[in-house]
Amino acid sequence: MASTSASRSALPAAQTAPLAHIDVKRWERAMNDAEINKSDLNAMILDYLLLEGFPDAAMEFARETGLPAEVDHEAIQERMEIQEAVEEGRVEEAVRRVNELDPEILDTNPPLLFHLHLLRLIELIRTEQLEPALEFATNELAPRGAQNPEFLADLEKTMALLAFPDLAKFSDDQAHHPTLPPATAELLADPAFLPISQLMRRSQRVKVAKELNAAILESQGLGMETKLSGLVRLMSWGEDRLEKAGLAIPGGERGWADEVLKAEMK
Amino acid sequence: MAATTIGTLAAAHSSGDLLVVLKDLKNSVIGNTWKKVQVAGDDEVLAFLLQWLELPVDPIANPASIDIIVEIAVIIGALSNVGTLTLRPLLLSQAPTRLLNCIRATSNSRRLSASDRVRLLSALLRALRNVLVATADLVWGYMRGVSLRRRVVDTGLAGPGESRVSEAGDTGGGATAAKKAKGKEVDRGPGGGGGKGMAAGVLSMVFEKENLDTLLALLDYSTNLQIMLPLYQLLARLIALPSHREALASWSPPKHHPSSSETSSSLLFSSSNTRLTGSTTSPASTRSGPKGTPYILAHLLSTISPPAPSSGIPGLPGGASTARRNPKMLEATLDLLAALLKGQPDLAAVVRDWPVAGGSEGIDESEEGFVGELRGLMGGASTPVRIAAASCITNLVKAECPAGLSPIEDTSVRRGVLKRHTLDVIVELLKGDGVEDRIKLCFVLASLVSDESSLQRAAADRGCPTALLGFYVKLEDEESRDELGSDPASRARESILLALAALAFQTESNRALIAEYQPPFLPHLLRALRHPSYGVRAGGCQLARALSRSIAVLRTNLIDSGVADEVIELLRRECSGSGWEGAGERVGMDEGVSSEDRGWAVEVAAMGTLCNLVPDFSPLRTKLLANGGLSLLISLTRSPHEPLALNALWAVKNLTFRAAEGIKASVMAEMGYAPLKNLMMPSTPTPLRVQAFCILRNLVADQTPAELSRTTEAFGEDRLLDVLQSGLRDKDQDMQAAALFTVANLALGNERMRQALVSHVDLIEGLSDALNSNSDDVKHAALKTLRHLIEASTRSRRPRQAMLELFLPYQLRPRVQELMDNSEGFDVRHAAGGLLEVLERGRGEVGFGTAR
Repeated sequence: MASTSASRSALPAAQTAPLAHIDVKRWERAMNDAEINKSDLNAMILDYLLLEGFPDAAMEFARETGLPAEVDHEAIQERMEIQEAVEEGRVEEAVRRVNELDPEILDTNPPLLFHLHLLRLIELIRTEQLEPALEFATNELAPRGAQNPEFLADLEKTMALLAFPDLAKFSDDQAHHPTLPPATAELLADPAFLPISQLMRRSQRVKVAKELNAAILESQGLGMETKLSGLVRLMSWGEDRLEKAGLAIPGGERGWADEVLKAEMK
Repeated sequence: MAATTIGTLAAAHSSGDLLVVLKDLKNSVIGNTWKKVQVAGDDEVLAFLLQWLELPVDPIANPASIDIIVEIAVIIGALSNVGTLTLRPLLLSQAPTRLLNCIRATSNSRRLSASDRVRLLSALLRALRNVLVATADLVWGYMRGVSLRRRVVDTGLAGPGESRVSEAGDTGGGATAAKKAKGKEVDRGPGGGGGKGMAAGVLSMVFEKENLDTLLALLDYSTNLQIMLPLYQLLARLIALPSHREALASWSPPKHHPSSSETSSSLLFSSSNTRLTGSTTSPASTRSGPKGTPYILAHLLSTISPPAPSSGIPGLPGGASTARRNPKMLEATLDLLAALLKGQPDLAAVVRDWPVAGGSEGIDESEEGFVGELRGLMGGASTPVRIAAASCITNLVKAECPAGLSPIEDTSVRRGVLKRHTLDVIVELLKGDGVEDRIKLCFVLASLVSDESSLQRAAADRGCPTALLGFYVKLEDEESRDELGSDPASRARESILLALAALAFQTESNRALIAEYQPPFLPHLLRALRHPSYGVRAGGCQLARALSRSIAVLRTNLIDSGVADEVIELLRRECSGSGWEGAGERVGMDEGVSSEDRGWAVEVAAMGTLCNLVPDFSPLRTKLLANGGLSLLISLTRSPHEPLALNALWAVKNLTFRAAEGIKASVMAEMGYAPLKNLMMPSTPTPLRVQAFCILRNLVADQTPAELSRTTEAFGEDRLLDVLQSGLRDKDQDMQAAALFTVANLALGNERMRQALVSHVDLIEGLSDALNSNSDDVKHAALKTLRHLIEASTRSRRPRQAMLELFLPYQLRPRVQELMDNSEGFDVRHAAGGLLEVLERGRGEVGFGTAR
């Protein structure tokens, strides 16, 4: 969250159509009048520490603030390691570990398991294991696509990586590829191929890891995201509504919530 | 694959090896429908797995055995959620019994560490919950919408020449495909025809004392989420039947149970004599407060809200705080409480009186006690908890409505306020985006507003029907854009249709709103009647039925949109392959669920709609008769499924009401007098028998003497009189009234018929006795019959002398006078007045009703 605070003052004002500004004094008065309960803030921070995987800090924070906290170190540690495994491309390991943690998470959530399997296929393609990739797609993904037609679009998109091996090879997060063939560069520049090339980016792993993390949290009755994230999204939505109503927030701070949300995906 | 599985399992030389194989098997079945079908369909694999489901005498000496049991429990739990293809083999191999035995052994074992015990119980309970919830879905239908077909697909591109696709819920073709795929026949034993009976037996088994002792003893682990969650979820699903609720609520711990000692929480465990039959007179033990509270109810109430210290009731250590802090646990607790309260006024009274501790978080000050607590939870932060609390309050207020009183007549201000507040919360929550939440909310909404026109209007004032119609229309867009899976979309459709049906059932303005909605909604309803999910089709029928209660909507919108025609077509399609009469494959819609699984939901709902489509003012009547609909309708009166036969008889009754003689003749040519006679015999279930009498009553109504003679001749005069007499002597008052009204119509016929009626002494005795009945319907029917027998003609209103003399010993005049003076019912007073007038005209001629 430190980065969030830092980015707040650094962001430029929104460059959109001119908006009527809310009266600054009225705005400040409303801000000052807002009663913020310290224990609510503490609870929110504790929730953030627990859900984002800082059990020791959470324990210490709870002790200092007097908040009740039953911290299950092992569960948090396991959840974080599973998330890490997905972010590092060790999808099979992540699936096995989730099934050990709670076998119902993936059994009752076909879209999530499908996304994990897709990611596994992407990782096989990334490491150029084409035979196993085809076998995996045949055995695990094709039947699921037949069972759930809504999965087919994502499956087709991922299978396209096999048809364009160079696209798969050069679509990672690396800024410059000295050996990038011109034809591939052309493909990468083509917006039609963007949804395919994005599959190879780290953001795809992060997206699936977040989805999995949310499912684990939900299974443990902990809510699917931190309350802080929810508030940031609420703020972003509120700013959006104000903008649509033709109003601008004083101080040109519009957009920081959006930036925080974007940063979370990187 | 299956042969490899058993081979790999059998080749494991040590417990460690076996554990590795089981973990692989577990990972391969989780989320993979086809593999689940393969594993469950292989008897050897299943037998191998289940034989390990036994706790060793000394688990400490064999620590791997605990891990093995846990893995097997996970596999069995995962296998069960596919449908009948996997459920049937699991039930045939007695998996639930084995799981229960293993749970019992685990609970009783003194050689287990606390952590191992919790680990085992958690896995075993989850498996048991999955198997039994799937079984309950099979036997009783789905709780929250019917899942759309799940295609069981093999490895997709491999293995040419084999039929690789089957349906998860299919007991016929799907099973065959699965057999073919593994090249081996599976003996499915009684699964073919008696599967449902076997499944129902398994569900009842849980409520046997020994098994309830085993499961409910686990409530001692009230602080452990891993154990309590599956246990609550299991019980909430299994107490769908009143008898099961009774078994659960009357359970008290056995004497050797630690909880039953006086020094612990003896009040919580006090045995209860609570009657759960819906009676308003409840035992003092229950009414007097928490002392007689059923154990399970006290446990749940304590878990949600600790009792006030002043009440003297010990709370459950840690239980309430755990539930409070974990929304999932709180939701499950509330769900179980809601299920327990359904239709149980005595339990509702206990909940009202439950003393909660002051200052409890989330309590709503506007309502005292536990209901205030529920109101507080309904306004909380967690949507699933809010919905569960709304469901709880709905079942509470519905149960509180005094027995024998319809919700419309319930004038309690307190309940009215609570219902409207709950409605407000539901309407607010419906604005959320979550599909699953919306599905649950629609079911709760349907339950809340059912039979309450004031609430239906209040919901309309809050824009509820319009919002639901908007959601429904939006579903199609979302589904086409792949934003929504077909399964949730299908369940959402079903839930919205049912909620709309409930909103429109008693409220004309809501029917008009739905029928006139722009863009038109009826084309969506038409598509719903052709939808692959039988849940959506059944929901569509319910809405069509609600709309058809409006004559204006029936005559215009339903006819113009084609919905009315489609209901008949739907019924034809559904019945063409149902298998109860003649053979044949189910044609048309096949969502992969057998008729056995479907529980006749669509046919019953469609027939309910048809009842409203065939009255004399309906343009559909002629169409039904012209297109072979009558034959279908009559064939359904012979359905072995009683609700379907009942609705079919009801439709025939409506069809014959004020019908022309030609229609009556067509009906009887199709139905036959002998089957009608059989339906009127005492051996027929009473509701069906009542309808059969009503059909005869309609047949003989307004018949000329010649037509009546033909009818009685076809029926057999003596047989007819015997049947009427048995109806009159039946204990059921609806039956008596139906028989009397039939006699009343016959009495209007010819002299010969009247003589035949009055020469039957028992019939005349029964008629006289009916005047003393405590049912207004029966008295009204008796008075009408007497008038028809005695009055010579409606023009002269003079009595028939012979009849006056015949009834002389029955002292009719003072008795009828008494009815006219003191009856509460208008119909009775009016009929008594009419008869009295006729009797007065004969006064003096034979000294009728005067003392000597």
